[in-house]
Amino acid sequence: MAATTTVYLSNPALTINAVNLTDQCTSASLTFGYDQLETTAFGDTARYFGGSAVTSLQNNSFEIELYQSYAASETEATIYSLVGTQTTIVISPTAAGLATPSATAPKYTLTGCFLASHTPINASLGELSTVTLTFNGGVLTKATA
Amino acid sequence: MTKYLVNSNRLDGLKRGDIIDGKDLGDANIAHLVESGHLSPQDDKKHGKTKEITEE
Repeated sequence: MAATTTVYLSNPALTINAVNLTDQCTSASLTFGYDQLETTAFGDTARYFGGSAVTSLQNNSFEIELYQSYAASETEATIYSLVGTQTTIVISPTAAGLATPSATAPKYTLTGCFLASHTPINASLGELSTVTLTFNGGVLTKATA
Repeated sequence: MTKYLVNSNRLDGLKRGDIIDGKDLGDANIAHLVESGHLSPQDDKKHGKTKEITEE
């Protein structure tokens, strides 16, 4: 189980494999964490995890909900070919943060995250069709300048 | 290096009709962008010059 901090963004700007799908996005959740490695040893009176001599692996994930669209250059065209591959996600709390990140509009880049599955058809009568995607793994970097 | 024609307005900082090379999009997967229709590879063959011949 990884120790995680979750950032929920209600109005993000984002790109998936350099494609800006902000206007199709309704929610996004980026989870940043490291694997929790136990370092408890004989003589300890409690359990300990991590420490200055322990470097664990990042364990990140990114979940996003998009409106489905089968039009050219839209959601389906962009996402379908990414299934089963690694890609790069870039997200910021504001659109300006994508181009010029700052302390109040940081830009997060998740490089090498894997998209395992996609639901090309996910529709109910009388409702807009949406797709929910989960990207796992990859290394996360944060830019504030 | 192969040049690409931008076919959509969804690539950040680019607009439809721009001509770019692969490194302009950082570490984006160019093959997927081509497959998904955002980019089209451009033929980089040079066209020969034409010479106009007039008969007298």
